[in-house]
Amino acid sequence: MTRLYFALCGLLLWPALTLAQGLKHPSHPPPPGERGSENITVVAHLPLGIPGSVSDIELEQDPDRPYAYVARRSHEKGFDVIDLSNPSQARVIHRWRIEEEDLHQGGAMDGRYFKHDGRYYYVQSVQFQQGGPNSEVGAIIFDVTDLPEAPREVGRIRQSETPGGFHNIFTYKHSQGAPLLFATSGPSAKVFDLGRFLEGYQTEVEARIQDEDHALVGIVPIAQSENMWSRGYHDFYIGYHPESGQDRFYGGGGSGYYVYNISDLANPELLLTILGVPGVSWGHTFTPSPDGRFAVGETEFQYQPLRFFDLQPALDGEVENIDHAVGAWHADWKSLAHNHEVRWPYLFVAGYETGLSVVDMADVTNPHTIAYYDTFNGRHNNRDESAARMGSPYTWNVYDGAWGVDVRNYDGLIVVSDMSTGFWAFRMDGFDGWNGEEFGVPNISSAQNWDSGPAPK
Amino acid sequence: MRTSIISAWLFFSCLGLCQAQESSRNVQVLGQWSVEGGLLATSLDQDPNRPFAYALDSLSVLHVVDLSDPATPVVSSQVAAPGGHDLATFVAEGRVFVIVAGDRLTIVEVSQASQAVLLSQLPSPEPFSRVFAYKHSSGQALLFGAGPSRALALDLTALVTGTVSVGFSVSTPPHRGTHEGFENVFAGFHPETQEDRLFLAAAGGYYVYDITNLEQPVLKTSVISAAVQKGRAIVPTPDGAFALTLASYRTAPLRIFDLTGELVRTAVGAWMEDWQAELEDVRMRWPFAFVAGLESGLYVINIFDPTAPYTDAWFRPDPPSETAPLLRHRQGVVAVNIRNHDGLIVATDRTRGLWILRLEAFGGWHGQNWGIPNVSDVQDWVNGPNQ
Repeated sequence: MTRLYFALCGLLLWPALTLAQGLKHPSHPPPPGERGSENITVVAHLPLGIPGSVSDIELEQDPDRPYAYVARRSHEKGFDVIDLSNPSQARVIHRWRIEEEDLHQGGAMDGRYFKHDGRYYYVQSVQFQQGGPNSEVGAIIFDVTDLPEAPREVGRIRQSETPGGFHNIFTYKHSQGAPLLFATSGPSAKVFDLGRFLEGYQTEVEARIQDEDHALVGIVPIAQSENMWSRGYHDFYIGYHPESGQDRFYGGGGSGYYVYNISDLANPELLLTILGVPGVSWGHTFTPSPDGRFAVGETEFQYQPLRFFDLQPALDGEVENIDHAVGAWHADWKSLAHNHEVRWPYLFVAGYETGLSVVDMADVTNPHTIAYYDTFNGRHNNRDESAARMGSPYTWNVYDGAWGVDVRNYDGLIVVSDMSTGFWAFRMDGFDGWNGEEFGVPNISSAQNWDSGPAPK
Repeated sequence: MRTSIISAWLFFSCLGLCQAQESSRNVQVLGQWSVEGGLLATSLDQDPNRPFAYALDSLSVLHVVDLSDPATPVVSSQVAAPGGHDLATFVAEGRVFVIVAGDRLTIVEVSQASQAVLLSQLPSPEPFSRVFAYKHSSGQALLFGAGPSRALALDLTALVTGTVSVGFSVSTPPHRGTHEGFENVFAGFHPETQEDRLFLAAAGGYYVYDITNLEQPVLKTSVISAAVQKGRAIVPTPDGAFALTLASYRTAPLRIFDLTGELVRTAVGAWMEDWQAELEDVRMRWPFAFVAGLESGLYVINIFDPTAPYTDAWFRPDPPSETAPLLRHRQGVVAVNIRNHDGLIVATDRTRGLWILRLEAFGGWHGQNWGIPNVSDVQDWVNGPNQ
């Protein structure tokens, strides 16, 4: 009887032990019917157009507003609005495109929404090169309150002195109450008060004569160091830090990653740097855990895993710089992960050619895959095919597939924008939504509380 | 009940033993030589009549190990070589020397294996991390050293007479990043151009110099890859067309670069068996590359197609560590040597000493048998490289 008991225990423990080591991603292209793990369900898939034309994705968080926005970066330049009223019947309800599309060199990149004074707005970052129109425009703001009616453009944020647009943006409800837009622009991150910007567009006259910096309320510098890879930021995340009561800026760029206290927007305070990490010449995307203790860093080069950093030694003042990662994760070491979203203890990864992955990062020294779906579904690192399709040698032609990912906190819907295969919506077994408090951590994620702000009331 | 417990204990003990040392089916472990504290570096004597390995331990003692019977290696003699990090072998006029390099240069004659003789200990112009002995096409024997600020060429003939004579030195070429200095070095003859070439793993990546004219090294190719702040090792294919490179951090794959052009940025191929591993050293016997991968052991990879290298064989001395990968200490296989006349392989283990191995169907290596130049880390000390 005892032997039978132990044998049964062994059999029962085996799947748990296997899961603790993580799921293994399939070979590429995956065998028939094995694009995803068994715990992932495809809710919707909408091919959106020419492969390579899709960039980032944004998902509204209000239960009454079932909308997603997908940016279009080439061939078609603008964004698509997707109605998710019935997620399994997802459909594109609007396709906004820049005027004189053919004259514009570049396209739309990152998109974020915000709510202000009871109305909803979508901010589309754009990058148009000089030599074509609108190179001074960084973002275009739309009033989307009346969706499913058509979005209405309300203004364009221009920065003539740093042309080339905004590559990435982040909308954040500051603890002081202002809805802010953070934007990559020149050698810093610029901060715009979106409320002030909207006020400047109340009349046509004001819009024409206004100073283009009238809503610029802050600049987050990048800490200078020797032989920097780049002089500016590539991407960032802004989150409230309940323990200290600070608003914190987490930037990737320069030669690594940078954390600033931006509670006082006029005086950003550098809290720590992550520089000199072997393999990291440049920071790309950088996202903290809800408590600000750990952070995930991406560097945009082939073969580079996502790295997990413990920020505590620097936050405690033991060191000023973190120079090593404590954990790393790869879906496929020949590929490269891109954007990601943290919903502790899960990390949702848009992994370019590896598609969507969900990573358990509860133990940051041993992050492991718990779910995946291959949205790209093509051969990895296929230089000839990718170069022909994408027309770019950037990142050794692993630059295709899942670009962006977002997670709807109230019901756990996961959406992915794939550069070549379009829009995807998923559900993961056992993940019906996220509120940090249910996981014993602050309720901090990229989703903002636009009504009350980030600080506990 | 007691019988069950004993049976279970025996079962798991056997399981533990089976897992302690593993390999692919085509690798045979012939023997092992343990030394307290483990080994830092090893060199294999290439003379068919001298079945010796020269092994430097972590306490800076040079051991002459007799491998006549690979199953039972025997230490023939020992010499203290304080401050040593790496070693190289040099043959001149029938005499065999081992140069232990590091903070100092220790010159030992091992012509009589049973009686290693300390000839001299000299101040080193740089604290070398790695050294490489090379017979130049001009006939000069050189010791190349990779130092924290310069890479140097020392006259080996002068060295064994107790004189440090610097032939030339190179500093790190301009590069991005804050690192400086050199990590590793390889020199090889390039028959197609009749050039002697120096391959350096250094801050910023990897550099290839034409050193035919020892008075004037010429930088031919820089391999600057974005995610490599400091190269750890570089070894070319025998024809000099490609270079296999390692970087100084865990998760970095072995990258293969086409050396055509002055500036190379993109690898044409890469290899990694365990992406969380750290790769320490690489030796080439085309189409095979032998890779020392610390705790993940020794790998033999096939690079017949440099764009699609694959694992051909592996040997792991210890079971996988339970410590999180990025928090592991650097231990395990740090170097590998291959004896060309019979294909004997020795893996240098930082903790477990020397492993003596054979690879199935690999009975030795000569480039001409593969239709390529006979260029490897093994020197023809009598005739030089261009004969």
